[in-house]
Amino acid sequence: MVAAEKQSLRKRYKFEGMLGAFILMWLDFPLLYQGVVSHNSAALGAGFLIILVAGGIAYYFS
Amino acid sequence: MQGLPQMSVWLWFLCLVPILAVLILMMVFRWSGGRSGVVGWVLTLIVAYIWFGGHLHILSAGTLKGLWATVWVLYIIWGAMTVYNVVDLVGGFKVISDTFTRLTGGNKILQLLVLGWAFPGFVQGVCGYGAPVAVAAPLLVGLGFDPIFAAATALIGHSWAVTFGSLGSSYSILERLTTLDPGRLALFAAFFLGIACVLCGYSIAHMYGGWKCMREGTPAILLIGVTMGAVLNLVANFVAPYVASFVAGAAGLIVGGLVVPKLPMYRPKVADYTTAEVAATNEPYSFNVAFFAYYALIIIVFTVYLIQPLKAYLAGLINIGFPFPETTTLLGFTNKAVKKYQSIAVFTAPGTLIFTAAFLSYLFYKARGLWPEKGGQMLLNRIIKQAMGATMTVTTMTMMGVVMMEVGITRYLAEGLANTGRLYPIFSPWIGVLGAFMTGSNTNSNVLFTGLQWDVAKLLMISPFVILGLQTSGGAIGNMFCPMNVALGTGVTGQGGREGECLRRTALYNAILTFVVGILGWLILYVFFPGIE
Repeated sequence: MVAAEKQSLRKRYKFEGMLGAFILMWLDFPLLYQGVVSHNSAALGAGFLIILVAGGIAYYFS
Repeated sequence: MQGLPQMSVWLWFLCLVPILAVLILMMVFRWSGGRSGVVGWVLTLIVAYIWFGGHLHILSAGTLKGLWATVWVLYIIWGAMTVYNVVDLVGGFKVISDTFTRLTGGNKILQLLVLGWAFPGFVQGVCGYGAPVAVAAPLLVGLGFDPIFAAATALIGHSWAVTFGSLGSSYSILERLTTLDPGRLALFAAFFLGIACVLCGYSIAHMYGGWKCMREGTPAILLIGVTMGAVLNLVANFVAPYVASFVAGAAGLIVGGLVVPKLPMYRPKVADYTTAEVAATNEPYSFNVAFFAYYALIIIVFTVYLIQPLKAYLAGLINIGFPFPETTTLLGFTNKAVKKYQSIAVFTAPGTLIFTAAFLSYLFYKARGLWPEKGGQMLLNRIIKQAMGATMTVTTMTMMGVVMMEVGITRYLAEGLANTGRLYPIFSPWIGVLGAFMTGSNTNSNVLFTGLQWDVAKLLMISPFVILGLQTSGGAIGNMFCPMNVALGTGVTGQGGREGECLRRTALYNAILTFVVGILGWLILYVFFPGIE
């Protein structure tokens, strides 16, 4: 039952989920880029975490 | 090996895990490219962190570079989808399909060979970067072929032309990165790719209808393939390597379109011909009107890419790219700082040319009263829905590929293959394939591995010309198998998420062609011409 609900959620919002992950990756771009060019550990850490979350969303909905 | 771990078999196989995981998930478990790409990217991050000294800075830089590198490919995919949907919205593919059915007497093999093999080769001659796949695959779909099959056909069909395509961009890397005689470099590359060209024709026929179709298609394949292969070799050796694919593709189109349909075995049966004729009389408008978008695309591409002063002027107008600092792993593998990483010359980018063609064709169809009401909204809805799957695949795969390169995993895999001694020529083209698989580009594959292949050739005291010919041939053939191109093929045919099925279709032919080319190289070096320079 839970699996079926999860499946339907994935299918129902497949497109929106992928689009959301894609947008999140690009919104994260400036933060992560700032971290890379200025060797800013906080920006690097936060930026990398966000892109991992975006990857997780992409994994779930793709 | 500077900056890389000590070579060991288990670590070498561990480096293959992200690639194998992606292939198995897509081809066996039929996962979408986007989902498999995320797994591959995360596995790469783990391998890089634990065994290659990849720290947060270099892993972030690799991921970001990968993200930026997708812009170029996505621009093409979205543009190609726009062109396809503009033509589809006015019912153009029905007209194109009927016309090609009439010209070829309904012979599907001929349609495949002309539109899926010679035509993409011809387009690749001038503008590569996925454009041949983006143009040819939708046309095949319009002719009634299964979309995944159409994408796989275009992928296989254009691969032979990649090295000397895009006005020789991949070949020029061999010239630039070595001090070897350019003419002799072209000799072996053209020889291997000429053979690969004929095999591409047979691969397409086999994929369509097995051995029976190969037998039936043999006269056409030999006529078109030998023509394209011979012209490729003649032009590469005696005229200019930079236009070899273009001229060879044009010759193939002429032979395939004008000569082959007149052969007795391909003349249409009376019943088929009559049906096609009837269909032709019912067409709402002419073939030329329906094909306008592709005429516009070909004219725009040829104008911009063949008129060098115009291309140089446009290329210098706006260039978008980001500077990246030098990055070094904890083991000392270094990537130099770049002022503009993978900069995009906006006005000469294939995506811009494709979007321009789409806009011109929209104006043309609108002026002729063919554009449907609320067509703009329909177009936008279709493109967004169709493009998302391919977008995720390209994004995640490219991030994986670039991280692998940044921390030295790709280099480590190639160095491992270089330890195979006398068998090296057989593995040499696989290094080219690896480069194309990771980067989606023959040019980038050559950038990555020309130095390595040249060094190994010197070490083994075998001809560097043959080995570099094998490298670039592998890089070209690998274009049919790399996830980025496959995503492009499935994207433009509206099959985003089915990349695994497409990969499964091209995997076998990629392996056969690469193996044949490798064996040929080995025979040249150790059997027929030992000691050849």
